[in-house]
Amino acid sequence: MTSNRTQLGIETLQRDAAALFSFVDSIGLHCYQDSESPTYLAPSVDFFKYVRELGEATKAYLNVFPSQAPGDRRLYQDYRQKLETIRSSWFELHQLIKPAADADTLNIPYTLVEALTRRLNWVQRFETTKFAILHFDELNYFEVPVSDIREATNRLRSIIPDAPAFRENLGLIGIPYSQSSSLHLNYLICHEMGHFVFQESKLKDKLLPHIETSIVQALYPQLEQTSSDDLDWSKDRLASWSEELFCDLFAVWLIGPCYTLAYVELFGLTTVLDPASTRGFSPTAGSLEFGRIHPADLFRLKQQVILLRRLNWWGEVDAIRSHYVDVLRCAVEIDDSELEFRTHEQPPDYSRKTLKAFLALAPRIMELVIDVMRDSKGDALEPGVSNYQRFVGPIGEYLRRAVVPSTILEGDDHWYPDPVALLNASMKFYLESIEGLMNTIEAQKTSLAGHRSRWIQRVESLTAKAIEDYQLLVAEKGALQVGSSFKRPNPKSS
Amino acid sequence: MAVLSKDQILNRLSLPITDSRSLAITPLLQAKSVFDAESVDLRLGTHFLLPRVPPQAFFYPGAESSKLGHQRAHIPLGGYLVVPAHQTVLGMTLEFIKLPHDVSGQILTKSSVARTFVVIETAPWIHPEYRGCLTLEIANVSNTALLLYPGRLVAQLILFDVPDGKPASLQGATYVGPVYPEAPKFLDPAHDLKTIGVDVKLRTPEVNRQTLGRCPECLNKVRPGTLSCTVCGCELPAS
Repeated sequence: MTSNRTQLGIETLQRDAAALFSFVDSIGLHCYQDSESPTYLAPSVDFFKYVRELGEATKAYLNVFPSQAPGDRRLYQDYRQKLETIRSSWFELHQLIKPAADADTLNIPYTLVEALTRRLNWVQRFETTKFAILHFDELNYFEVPVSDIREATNRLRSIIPDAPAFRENLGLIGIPYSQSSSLHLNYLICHEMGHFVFQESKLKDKLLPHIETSIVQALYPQLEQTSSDDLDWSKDRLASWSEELFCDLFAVWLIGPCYTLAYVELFGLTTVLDPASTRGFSPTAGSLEFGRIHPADLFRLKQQVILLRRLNWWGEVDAIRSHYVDVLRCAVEIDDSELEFRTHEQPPDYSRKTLKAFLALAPRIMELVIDVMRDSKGDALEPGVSNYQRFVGPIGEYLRRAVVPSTILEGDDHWYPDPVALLNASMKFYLESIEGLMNTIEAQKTSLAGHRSRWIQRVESLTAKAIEDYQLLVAEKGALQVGSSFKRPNPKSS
Repeated sequence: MAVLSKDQILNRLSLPITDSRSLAITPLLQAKSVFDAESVDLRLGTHFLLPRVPPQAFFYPGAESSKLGHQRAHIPLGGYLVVPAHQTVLGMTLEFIKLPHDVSGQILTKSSVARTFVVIETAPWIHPEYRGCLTLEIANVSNTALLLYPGRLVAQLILFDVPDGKPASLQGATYVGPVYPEAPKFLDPAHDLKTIGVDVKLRTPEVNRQTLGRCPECLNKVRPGTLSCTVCGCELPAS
């Protein structure tokens, strides 16, 4: 019997290497984003540069790949596997390039991203961390696990000796493309920064003994009858929920209650409010139910409120006249016994015990956040309440007059409110005072969602501008630091 | 109407924002050197609108023009924008301005910039109570391309007192508080001229798109020929 099959040889290697070369080359062509326009934030430019460097190293390797094939044809098959490894790694990188290219500074809240990054840089061990932003189709925020990218690029490096390692301290965060210009909802970016911190600090490893202890205690006395697969399943659930909870608490500490209020908005949690109910709320189906990855929404809010109280933020939140805050009050009233975890993967009794194990673990997550949120001196990171208390009133007065609140006149000095104060004061203003602004504008009707939306966007852009100004003002020669605030003498008196 | 002196400007800047006579300019960088005897120097901002070549052989100043006529550009501090010879671009001051109720202003090209044949502003008058970054209609009228650097001083703000000015509601919601350059917002010529009894002959397809039976402001359904919306009261494009 004769065969038409092509014999593997140097020529097929040349063809396969060339095909892969073209593929890598075509990706690299989309990474020349350091031209003048559109503009990208420095971390994005660095990400593109990295992919280009990796592409050049890969192409150089592919150029000589056929010529360095082993002489013995029987070894070709193994040798060709390297092409498959290279291809699979580049497949993973491929899906990140377009989302990164779409996220130029006109299409992301770049002032917010920079301010949040600078805030994160106050946290010990993350002083040089930076984030490239990506646009994704899903209406959700997520962090692209850097460990996955490192794994893919390390596979390349195991074959290509001069392939560069993925950048240290570079994280990738995906945001919904539709939220390119909003400010308030994008506070959720902090949660994704939390994932980066969680992973880079290897907190899962630190938590694992506690997770195991919790599970053992929750399953006792049936532990002996539990299979190792089931135990692993429970560990995975607890690890996922712990990471999500950590990220929430991390975000609250990083920027304060505006994160929590943005969370209420993004997930539409005001629907739990029910004046007809004796408790004032009727939890919706999903609000008390844990998912496979995420804890229940009302549980997450309750934990955030606990931290807000601990950080002395709660008094400020409680003073905001908004039904968003009512949702938080409701969340606090939730008893652990009301929480549920239903899954087809395990019998109800076992799922309940897994949930019980997590609820016992939750205080440990809080402690973990406290451990992580330290500044370069090792002190607890200043949560920013005092500056907020000082500036929230004046910022509101500026916003009510549609004025950028970047320079606040107080006594003989001009003060510059910091981003945490600005973000939280802006959120408060949005929730309770947007009508006050609209009433000063001719022919604007608070009853019209379209009109209201216009002024919400305006408040967001005024706030974003104030954050951008802040960086310029505090960097200017003559700006004086007083505690954690900056000021400059009024030019009239100087 | 008199020009405000440096001291008068500084006095206004020292009034609390709750005082309707207060003036705000932020960020006021190099505060010691940006004041002249009767003016304040302003810097070029980082956002621009670049005019697009219109699909027709002309620019139609109608309701759709603000959506179609320009391309946005962000040039961060440290970067630069090339403006070819005889080309125009919409820019913005870096500074956000809030004028008092009894002060109007005029923005002029800084003389050093003007001597390079760049005109920074062609609609220079600023009404009392205006607030926002100032849109700059920048024209390079020279015979060579020029580089614009955001953050550089490009304009001078001169302020005038308006003795009879009184606090009032902010008018023209469209232009209150902008921090990015905004394209012009027109009603369609047919609407504008109908108010004085003139029928316009030339209408573009955009006009028809605008009048698909809904108010552009609140999206309420409106009858053809209606001049104002019954829900939000805004003026409607002519159908």
